[in-house]
Amino acid sequence: MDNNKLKKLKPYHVIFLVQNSMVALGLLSLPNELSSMGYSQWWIPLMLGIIANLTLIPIIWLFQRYPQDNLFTLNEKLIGKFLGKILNTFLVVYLIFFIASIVEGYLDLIKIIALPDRTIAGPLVVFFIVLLYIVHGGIKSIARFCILSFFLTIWMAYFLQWSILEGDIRHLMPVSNFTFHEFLVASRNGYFAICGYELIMTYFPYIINQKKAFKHASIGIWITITLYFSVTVVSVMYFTEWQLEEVIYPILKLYKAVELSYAERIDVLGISLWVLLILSSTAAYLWVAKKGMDALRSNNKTYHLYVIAICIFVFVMIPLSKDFQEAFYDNLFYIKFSIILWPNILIFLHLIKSKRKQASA
Amino acid sequence: MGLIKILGKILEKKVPVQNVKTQPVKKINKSNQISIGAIKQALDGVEDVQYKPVRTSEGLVTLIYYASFVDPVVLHERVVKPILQRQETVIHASEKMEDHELNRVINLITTGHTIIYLHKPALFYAIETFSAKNRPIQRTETESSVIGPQDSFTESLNMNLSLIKRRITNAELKNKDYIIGAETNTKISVLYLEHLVNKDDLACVKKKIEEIDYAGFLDIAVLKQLMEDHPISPFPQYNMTVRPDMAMHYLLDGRIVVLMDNSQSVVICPTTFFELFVPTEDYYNRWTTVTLLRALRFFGFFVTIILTPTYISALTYHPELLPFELLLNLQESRDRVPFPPVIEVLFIELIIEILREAGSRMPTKIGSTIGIVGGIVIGTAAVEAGLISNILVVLVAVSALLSFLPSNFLMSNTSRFIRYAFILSAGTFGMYGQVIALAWLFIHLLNLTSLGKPYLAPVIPRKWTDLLDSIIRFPMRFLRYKKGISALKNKRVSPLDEE
Amino acid sequence: MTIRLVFAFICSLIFLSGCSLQLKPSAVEDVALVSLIGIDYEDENNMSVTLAVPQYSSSAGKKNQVYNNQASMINEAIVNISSQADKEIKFNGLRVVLFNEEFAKSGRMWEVVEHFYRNPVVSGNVYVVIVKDSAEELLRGEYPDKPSIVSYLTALLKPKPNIMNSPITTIHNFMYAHSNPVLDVKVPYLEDKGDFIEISGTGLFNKDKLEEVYSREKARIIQLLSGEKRLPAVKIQLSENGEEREEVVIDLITSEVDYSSNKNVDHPLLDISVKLKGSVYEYRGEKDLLNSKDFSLLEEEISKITEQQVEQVINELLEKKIDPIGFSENFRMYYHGEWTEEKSREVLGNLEYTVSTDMQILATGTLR
Repeated sequence: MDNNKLKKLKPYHVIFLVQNSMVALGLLSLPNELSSMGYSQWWIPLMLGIIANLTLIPIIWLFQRYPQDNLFTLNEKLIGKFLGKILNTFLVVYLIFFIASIVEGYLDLIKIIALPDRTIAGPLVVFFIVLLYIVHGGIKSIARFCILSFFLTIWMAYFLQWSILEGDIRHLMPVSNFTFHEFLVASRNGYFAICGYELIMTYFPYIINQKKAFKHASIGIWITITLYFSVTVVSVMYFTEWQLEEVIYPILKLYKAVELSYAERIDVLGISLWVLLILSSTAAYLWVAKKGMDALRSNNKTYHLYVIAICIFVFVMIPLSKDFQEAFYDNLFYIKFSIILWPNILIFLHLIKSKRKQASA
Repeated sequence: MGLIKILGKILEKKVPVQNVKTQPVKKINKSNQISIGAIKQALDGVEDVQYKPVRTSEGLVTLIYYASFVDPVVLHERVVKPILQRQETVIHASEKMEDHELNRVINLITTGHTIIYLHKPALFYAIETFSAKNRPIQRTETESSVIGPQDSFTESLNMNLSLIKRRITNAELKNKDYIIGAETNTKISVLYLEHLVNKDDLACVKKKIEEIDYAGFLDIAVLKQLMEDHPISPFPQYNMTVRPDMAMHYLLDGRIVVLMDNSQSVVICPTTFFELFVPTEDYYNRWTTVTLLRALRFFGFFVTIILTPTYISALTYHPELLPFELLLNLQESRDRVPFPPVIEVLFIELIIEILREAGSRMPTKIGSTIGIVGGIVIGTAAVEAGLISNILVVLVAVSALLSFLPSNFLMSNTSRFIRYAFILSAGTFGMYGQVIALAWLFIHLLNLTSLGKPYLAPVIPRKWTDLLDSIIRFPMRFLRYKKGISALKNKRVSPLDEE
Repeated sequence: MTIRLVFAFICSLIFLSGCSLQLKPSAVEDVALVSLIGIDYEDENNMSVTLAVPQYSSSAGKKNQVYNNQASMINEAIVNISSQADKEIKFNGLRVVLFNEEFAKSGRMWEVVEHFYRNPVVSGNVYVVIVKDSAEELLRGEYPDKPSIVSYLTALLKPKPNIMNSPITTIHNFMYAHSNPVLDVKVPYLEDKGDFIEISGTGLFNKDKLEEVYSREKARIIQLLSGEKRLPAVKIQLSENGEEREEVVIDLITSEVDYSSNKNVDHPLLDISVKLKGSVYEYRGEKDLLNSKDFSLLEEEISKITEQQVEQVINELLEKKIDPIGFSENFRMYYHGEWTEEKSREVLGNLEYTVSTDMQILATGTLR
C-alpha cells in the first residue's frame, strides 16, 4: 500500500469535511442563541456565512504558501520553536476542552430526552470507542464518514415542512428590528455554531487540489449556511419571540410538531441520529488535536490519540458545577475566534520573514 | 485501553497465516534417484497403487498408477493397447523422466498419471491418464435463476475452466496455475483478461497466493478467507459464486477469478459491498424490475439488522414512538411475557437460528417438516404460552426472511451476526445505542478494503458511472463502462497510513 | 488496530448489556402511559388533577384507569397519584389536556400548559381543550357505543375538515398564542352530553383568562379570518319572511383571507378581503340555479351575508379588545422597536377596517 502518499483528500472530501465539522451541537440551539435579535435573526446565518468565507481567505492564502505544513508546524516555523511549542500546547489543551464541551453537551441532551434515569458513563464509553475507531482511519476515513453522516441525516430536513405549514411567514418582517448591542450578542453567540471550518488549517497539506481548496471549502461552508438559514427561517416562522428565548433546543420542538401515522414522535430518533453529526465533527477535532500532539512531540505515535481521548474522557466525567461549566465553555468562544483570526498574524510574520530573506539575498 | 491491547495482541498472534509454518513435504528419498525399488518404497502402504506388468514384443513393461484415478478402459485404450501394438507411439506421447526426478514421479502418480517403466533400457515415462469420474454439469440449487444460463461449476478445475473459456473465446483470457497446500497439493488457477485487468491487483493476488502457507484446502472458501485484507471482519470481502455467467461478468469488468480444483465455487476479487447483493439475473431482467429488486435487497439488509432492535428500544426506552393503538396491542401481548424485551428478542431469534440450523442438515423432506413444526407450532404456541408477544413473531419472521435476500449467502449470514450486535446495543442504550452501532457498522464498512480497494465503493462512488449500475440499474445501453473498483489506473485507499 | 477496536466494541456491548439487565429498565407493559389529563378548579390555590391511562381490555373490566388527586401544583398531584398506581406513571404518551371552564377563568391555565411545554418527554402535539363542567366527570364518563374515552377524544380532536369550525389547539399553539403579543389564545370548548362529547364552540381568552365562549357559528368566522383554508359546510339563511324561506348549504372548498394594513400604528386601517370558493350542497328557494343571472345573484347574496357576519364578529372582538386572529400582526410587521401587548390593545382600540368578500360557487352538485 502507498504508505507515503500524503495527498489524499479529493474535492468532495474537502467539501464535506468542512461542512460536517461545522454542524454539531450548534445547530440544535442556533435559533435560541440568536434570540436576542428576535424575529430579525433569520438572515443572520447568511451574514455569518459571509464572515466565515472572508476569514477563510487569509487561511487558504497562507497555507498555499506552505503546502506541506499544518497549523502546528507552521506555528513553530514562523514564531520560533519555543514560542510555537507553547502556543501549540495551549491549542491542544483548548481542543481537549472544546471536544469535551461538545460531547458533554450532547450526552446531557441524550440523558434528558432519550435515556432518562441512566448515568452518562455508559453512553460516553461507547461514544468514545466509536470515535476512536473513526479517528484511527485517518483524515480520509473521517472525511468519508462525514459524507455518509451528511446523507444519513439530511433527510431529517424534510420534517421541517410541518412547522412551515403551521408557521406565520409575517414574522420575517421587519427585517432590521434590533439594536446594535443585540446584533453583537447574536452574532457572537451564533458564530459558535459556524466554527469548524478553520480545521482546514490542519488538513490542508492532505488536499490533492490545493489550488481549488478555497472554492471547495466555500461550497462546504455554504451548504451548512443554507441548512442553518432554513432552520432559522422556519424557527422564526414557527415560534414567537418569547419561545425563541425560552426554548433551548428549538429543533427538538420542531421535530415534536411532526405527525406521522406510523410513529407518534420522531424527536428521539432525531436526537439519536444527531450522534452521527457529533461523531463526525468531534472526530475531525480529535484528529486535529492528535496532530497537535504529534507536532509537540515531533513524532507520530498512535498512543497520542489515546492520551488525548483519555484527557477528554476524564474532563467530561469530572463533575463540575453547571455555572462553572457554562462560564468556561462560554469563554472558549474568544479562543475559538482568535484561532480563526490567528492566520492573519501568521501572514504578517510570513511577510516580514520573506522581506528579510529578500533583503539578505 | 490496556484490556483492549492485550486482547488485540492475543488476536494478532493467532491471525497471521504466515506464522503457522507447516513442515515441508518430507523427503522421500535423499538420493532422489529413480528406481522401481525407490518408488515402491515411497508408495509403501498405499494400497491402491498398481504395478501392472505388460509383456510386449520389445520387452517387459511395468505400468505404475493409482487404481482409483485411472479407469481401466482408459488405461487399456490409451496405454496398454498401443504399447502392445507399437511401443514407440506411447513413448512419443509421454514424457521422459530424468534419473533424479523421483519426487516428481511420485507426484505424478498421486495426481493420476501412469508411469511406464521400460525394464530395458530401464527408462521411466509418464503419461496423463487421470480418468476419475466427475460430477456432470448440473443446475445450481444455491444460486438458481429463472432467466439465464442454468449450468453451474462442478468440482473439477478443468471443467470449470472450460465453462468460462467457452464463454470468452479470446486469447487475452489468461490463466496462471499454482499448486498450494503443503499436504494436499491443490491446484488453483488465477483467471483474468490480460488487457482489462489492473496489473497491481493481479500482482497483489499472486503475491497473496504465493505467501499463503497452509496445510490443506477443503474448499476455495478457505483460501478466500486466508486472502482477505481484514480477516476478522464479519463481512466477506471477495465475491464467491458457482455460476459461470457471474464469473464471466466480472472477468469482463477486469476482475480476477480464482478457481480451485475440487471446489465448486470460484472467488472473484476485488469486490464491493454492493456487488454482494447483485445476482447476474439482474442483467437479464428489465431494468425497472431490477431497480425495484435491488432496492429491496439493499435496504432489506439494513432493515433486517434494525427491525428487531427497534422493537427493543421502542418497548424499553421510547414507548412514545409507537402509535397509540399499536402500543395498546403491545402492552396487552407483552403483559404475560416474563422477560424484558431484550431477552424476549434474543430468545425468539435464537429459535429461528436453531430452526434454520436444524433444517439445513436434514434431507429436504424432513427439513420442510422442521420448518412447519418450528414456524407454526413453536411460533403460535410460544405466543399462546405467553413467552413472546405476537407482534414480535411477525417482526422476527420478516427480518429472518429479509436476511436471505442478498444474493451472496455469506452476506446473509453476516447480516444475522450483525443483528445480534444491534440487539445488544439497543437493549443497552435504546435508540442511541442503535445509532452508535450503525455508526460503527458504517465506519467499519468504510475502512474495509477488498484487495486494497474501498469496499463500500458504489455508495461513495469511485467513478460517477458506477451510479448507473447501483441501486437504480439503468437500461443496458448505459452500462458500458468499467466499474471504478477495477479501473486500470491504480488508486488504492490506505486509511491507516496517512502520515 | 481496527480489529482491536471492533473487538473492543463488541466486548463492551456485551459487558455493558450485562449491567443494563441488572438495572431492569421498565418495559412498555410496566409503565402507565398517561393519555389524558383533566384539570378541575378546586379553590383559589388548588386544582384537582385527573389522569386517564388506557388499559387493554383483557386485564381489567374497564377500558381506562382513572386516578384523581388534589394539589396546588401539578407535579405534586402526580407524585401523589404515583403511590396509587400499579405502574410507573409516564407522560411520554400524553395526548389531550382538559381544563374545566372555571379553571380556565381563574387564569392559571397557562401555568399548567407551560409546565407540559417545558417537559422534554411530552410531545408538542398534545391538544388543549376546555370542558364545560368537570373534566373529571368527562374522563370518568361512560360512552357505551364508543371505543374508549382515550381513542374517542383523540379521534374527535384530530384535525379534519368537518370540525374546523373550532380551532385545534396544541400545547405549542397555546404557548405560541399566549406568548405572542399580537395574539390571544383560543381553545376548543367541549360539552359532555351524556352519551357523547360535542365540540360546541371556542373559548376565547383575554390574556390569561377565559373571557368568552363563542358558538360554532361565530367561531367559524374566527377560523375563517385566521386563515383556515378548509372549512366545513355551512348553512346560510338568505331570507326569511314567514313560510317563505330561502336557505342554502354550501361546502366551502377553499377560503382565503388577505389583510393589507396602512402600516400606521397611530391610525390603523385594515383592509380585509375574504375569498370563498364552494359548491352548493342543498338549496331551498325560488332561484333557478341553472340561470346564470340567478346564480350570480345567489353568489352576491351569500357574499353580503358573510360580510355582515364577519363585520359583526370583528366589532364584537374589538369591543372586548380581544384578538384571537392577530390583526395587529399586520402593523407589527412594519413597526421598528419592541412590540408589546399594550401596543396591540392600542391598535385594537383605534382599528378601522373594511371588509370585502367574494363568493364563488364552483358547482351545484349533480342534481338540479
